[in-house]
Amino acid sequence: MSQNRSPSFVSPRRILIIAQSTVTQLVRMKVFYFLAPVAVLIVGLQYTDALSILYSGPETLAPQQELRMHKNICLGTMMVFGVMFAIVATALLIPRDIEDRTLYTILCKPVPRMDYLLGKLFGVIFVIFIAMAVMDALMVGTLHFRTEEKMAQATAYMTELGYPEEEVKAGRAEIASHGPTLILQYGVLAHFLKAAVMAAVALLISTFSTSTLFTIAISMMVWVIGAFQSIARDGLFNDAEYGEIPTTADRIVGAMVSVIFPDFQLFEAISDGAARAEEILQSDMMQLGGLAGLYLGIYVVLSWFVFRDKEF
Amino acid sequence: MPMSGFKTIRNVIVIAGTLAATGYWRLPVEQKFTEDLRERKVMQPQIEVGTWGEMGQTSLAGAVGGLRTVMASMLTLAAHSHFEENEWYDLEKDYEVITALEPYNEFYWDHGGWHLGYNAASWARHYEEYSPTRRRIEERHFLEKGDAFYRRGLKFIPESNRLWFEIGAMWSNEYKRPDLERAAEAFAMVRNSPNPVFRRRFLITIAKIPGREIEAYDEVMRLLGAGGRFHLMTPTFRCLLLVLSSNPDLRAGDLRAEVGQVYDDKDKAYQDLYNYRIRALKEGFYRGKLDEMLRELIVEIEVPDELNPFLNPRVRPIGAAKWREAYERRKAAEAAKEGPDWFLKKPEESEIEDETGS
Repeated sequence: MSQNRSPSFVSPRRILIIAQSTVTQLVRMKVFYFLAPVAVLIVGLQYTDALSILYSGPETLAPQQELRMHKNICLGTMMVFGVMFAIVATALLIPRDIEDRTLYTILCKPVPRMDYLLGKLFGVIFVIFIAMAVMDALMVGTLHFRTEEKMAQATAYMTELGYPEEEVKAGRAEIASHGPTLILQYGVLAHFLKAAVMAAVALLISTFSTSTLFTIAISMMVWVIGAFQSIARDGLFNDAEYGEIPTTADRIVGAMVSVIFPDFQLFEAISDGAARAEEILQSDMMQLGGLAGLYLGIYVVLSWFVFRDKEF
Repeated sequence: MPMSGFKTIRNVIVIAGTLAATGYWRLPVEQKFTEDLRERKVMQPQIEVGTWGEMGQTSLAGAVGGLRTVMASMLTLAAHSHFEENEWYDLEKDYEVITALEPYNEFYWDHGGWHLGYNAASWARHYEEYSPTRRRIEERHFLEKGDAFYRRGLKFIPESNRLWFEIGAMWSNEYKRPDLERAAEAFAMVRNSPNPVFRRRFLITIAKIPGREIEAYDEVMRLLGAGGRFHLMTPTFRCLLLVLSSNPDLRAGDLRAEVGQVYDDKDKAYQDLYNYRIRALKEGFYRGKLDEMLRELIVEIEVPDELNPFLNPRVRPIGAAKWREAYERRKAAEAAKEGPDWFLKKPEESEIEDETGS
């Protein structure tokens, strides 16, 4: 009797095995090795002060701004790498499995399709996590040395001018707030969550797409529209800033954009705020994590719905 | 209808329905979160409609892709090249876009205003192809642009002491077109800044405006009460304390500082007041009974005639900290072999008062 029992809907063990094989599959893809050194190079560039050599503009004279620029470029690199990787890798996975006929060997076994999709998604997300962790470590390391250097310079300067000790401390604290802090890690986490959501979007599209190129193109479009989603949504909740009341057509389009597409500006806001050393609360991260989880849940369930009776 | 067609329609309906249902639930949550982040300035405001048109393709792509701050950083490179080429209107456009991308970054407002109010205005003032009248008009035009740029920044960052300070510094700059009333209005906003240099500038400005001496006296006393020890390290502040206290129009009961209360060393008092007198003649500082104070000190500490401004007017400040010893040494050396007068030399850097706020 136990032999006839249908497999459970979701099995963590099966998901883990598929995720592991997905990681191996991704690591073997040359695109991963191509993207990683590019990202590392750009982040590493900060440590060499190459920008200061190329450019002697005003930013090189303001310590906080210099540190902020360092963070902006590092976080920007992480975001682009994370999102691009999430889209391309996810878009490639199912077609590659069909091409290699791996999909048939998996699905002919008692493996629910949900497990397969989740395994694939978690595999991609894990690889993004590793890549981001490496870039984050590089950013934190370089930023730490640069912050220490700037603090030493500022202390020497303020002491020479005879600033009182409390002013010197305040100056140091101001510079330190632009160094490697927990808030900066919130920014990295926001980018990671955004990449994870993009992977889920690409997964959904790849379940009904007929080509990899189509999946990549549509996912990119979702990324771009996601950046505008909040503008469309604002129109539903508020009157326009310039006194123009949105028309019914505007509201319909706004509503469609708002409900269909995820709001990526929230992720950007947290990351931007982290780069500016704004006060980002734990509750903000909880909300962002909750939203990311919701998006992931919705897209995964929809992916499963489309994929569950797809014929190959 | 074939089965695959039916499945496609079914899938589209289910996807649309699920997204609509979950969207209906999540939209208010997202909107509330967005408004909260905007209120706390964690989230940047939306880019204004007019600015989209001014953005180049790269900036647009960056802004759309979620790289607003990175694009803002990168655009400063382009702005710097416009600055080097004296392309002021292009530079202004660059900073319009930069500040639209990252409006909560004080640095960009500060530097945009500095480029317009200082660099572009100076360029216009000295541009030989313009007639003298046009130079004045253009210079004024850029000064006003700089002022307006700083003030736009203040709409986004009203708590920025730096921007108010820069407005004041621009209008009190003696190499531009000083407008001390406008400068004082801006410096008044940073009277309680944590930065002592910012705090002092209101006093230093109104001390140059005829008719505001009593107000300046009140300000010097206010500063003395709040962190005065640090201000007293500044020669101009010490002199203003003495000179403003010597105002005959002060109210009955106002405290009047004496040289002996401010200085332990009368040589140092003389050196400061001597240098202050040079600044007062050049920059229009209030003088009160400065000359009387100097005369008294000349007699009291037996100042040599060479260092008596009433007998030997000089335009350079006394530089050495221990000027008398240096003077005596120099005189002894001169007696042995003739040499130039020591105080005509450039003063030591440590003796030049830093009031730039940098």
